[in-house]
Amino acid sequence: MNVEAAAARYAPQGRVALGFAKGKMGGDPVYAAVLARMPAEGTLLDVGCGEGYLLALAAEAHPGLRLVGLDHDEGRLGSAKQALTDRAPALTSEDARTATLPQADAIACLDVLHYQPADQQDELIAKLAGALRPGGQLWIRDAAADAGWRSTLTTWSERFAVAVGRHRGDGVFLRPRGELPAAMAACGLRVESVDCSEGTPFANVLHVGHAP
Amino acid sequence: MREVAITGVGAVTALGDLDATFAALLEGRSGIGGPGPFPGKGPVAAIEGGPHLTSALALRAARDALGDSQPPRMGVVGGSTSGDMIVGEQEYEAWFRGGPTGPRFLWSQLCDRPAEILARTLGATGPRLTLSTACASGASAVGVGADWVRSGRCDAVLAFGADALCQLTVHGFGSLQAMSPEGCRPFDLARTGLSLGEGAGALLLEDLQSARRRGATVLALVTGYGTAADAWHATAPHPEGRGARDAIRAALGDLPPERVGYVNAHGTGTKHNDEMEGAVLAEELPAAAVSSIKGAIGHTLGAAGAIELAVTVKALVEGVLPPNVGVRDPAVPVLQEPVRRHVEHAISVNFAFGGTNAAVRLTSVHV
Repeated sequence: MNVEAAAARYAPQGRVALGFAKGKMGGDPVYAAVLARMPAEGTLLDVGCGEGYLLALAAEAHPGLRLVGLDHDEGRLGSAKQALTDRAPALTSEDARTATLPQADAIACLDVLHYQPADQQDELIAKLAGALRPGGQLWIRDAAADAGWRSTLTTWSERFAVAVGRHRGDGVFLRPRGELPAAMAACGLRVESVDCSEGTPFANVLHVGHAP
Repeated sequence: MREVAITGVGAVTALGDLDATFAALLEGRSGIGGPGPFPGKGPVAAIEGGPHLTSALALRAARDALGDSQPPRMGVVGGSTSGDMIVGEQEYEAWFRGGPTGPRFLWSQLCDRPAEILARTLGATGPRLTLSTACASGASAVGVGADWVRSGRCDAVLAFGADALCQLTVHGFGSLQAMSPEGCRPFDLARTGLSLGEGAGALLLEDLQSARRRGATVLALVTGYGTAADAWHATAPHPEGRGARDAIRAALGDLPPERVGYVNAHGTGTKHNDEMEGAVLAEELPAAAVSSIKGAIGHTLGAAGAIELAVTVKALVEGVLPPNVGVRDPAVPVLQEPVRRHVEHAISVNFAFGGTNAAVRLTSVHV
């Protein structure tokens, strides 16, 4: 995983943008866990891509991969567009719940689900599973309500903003551990849950769903 | 009551100036390196090109905070633990070995020396004060400076904290066995002590109305300052953090604690401080994201409070909270990576040897 090269894409946006990109890519263990599973070709869809850090890491690792990102925040999406101009990614500010999704070989949905109620989370999971090509993977990470979620939210943070009313979401909708992989399995995916918390006391589990 | 605006910030640390320091913090990079000028006591965060005079570091930070501003009759409040003591130490050693003594020996003993240099160099003819409340000095300086502006004693104050490394502090903390052999990791379960650093931080504080009249950019507001003594022990914090809690509550005033979104913690990496502080912050400021920056710049003693407030101003302006650099297994919830979040209220705390506790509340003008 080439954090330096991927982060350098944000250098033209200033020192803070570069520092933040490096800190986020290097500090969050989910990126390495996802990169290790990323296909070299086909289409990668990042739902809630933000500034495009995962797409930037993918851009460095796999020159042949087609990059697609969705995010509601136009500011962050603008940052992603600047950083990835050479790869001409398809970046749109659409809500994944209503957007028409492309067929993808890998779909990432990291720290996104809790912004909506449980039934809508299940609907979105089904929609994402339906967009997977045969043999594709769906990566989902979210905090669990029964795994020290307060601590987890404080560390993973921007999500905590919802709880104190500083985010556009309606609240935090955390679900007991096990419900997300169950919802993924209900869509016909074979699910493995990978611990990528690297010794921290906080739950940091990546659920990997494999399409048949 | 007059409101207190921050219209300039500056710092110098082992990671560079304030902008370079902030960017490195976001990256999770640490400036704690080799042994510095006094080997044998564990790694320190020394600034390139040393050894430095505290006065020189203070001046660098102050110039950055002032920029082109030249407020008339500006006051100066400085905080430092050892001033330019390194010069006195060198002079004393020379005299001890049979050399002559000179005026350097005298002025280097004056803790007010950095404030005097600043006032003279910057033409600050307003009131001037140096205070020395150990590791709370920088925060106390900003708090007192804000009080001066609020009360109308003067319209503008340059508040700073500054400390360079010297034998007294390095060997003093060494003799207390407080220095980490590997580098400071605040709030880590396996923390092994502090790392000393050197640096300076400076904030230009102005009456909000006068600042607006002259068209200055207002970065943030100082909206609270609390200070309280443990009245307990020369070096250990009060086990229940009595003075720390009182200082935080005084800085909050009428503000509900859950509206504070970020705390720049004292977080020295010592067993006792971090244990006490973790419990105090969890109870007094439950909604705040927490990080200490001492794992990146070391404990800069009298400079710490001013540098940490300068960094907190940057965090409010940029809408980005810096992580708790150095932590691997956190004992309490601290930020392990940078976070994009615009918070309305932030508090920076410092809990000093001798039991002086200080908390300064900043309020964003960007939320």
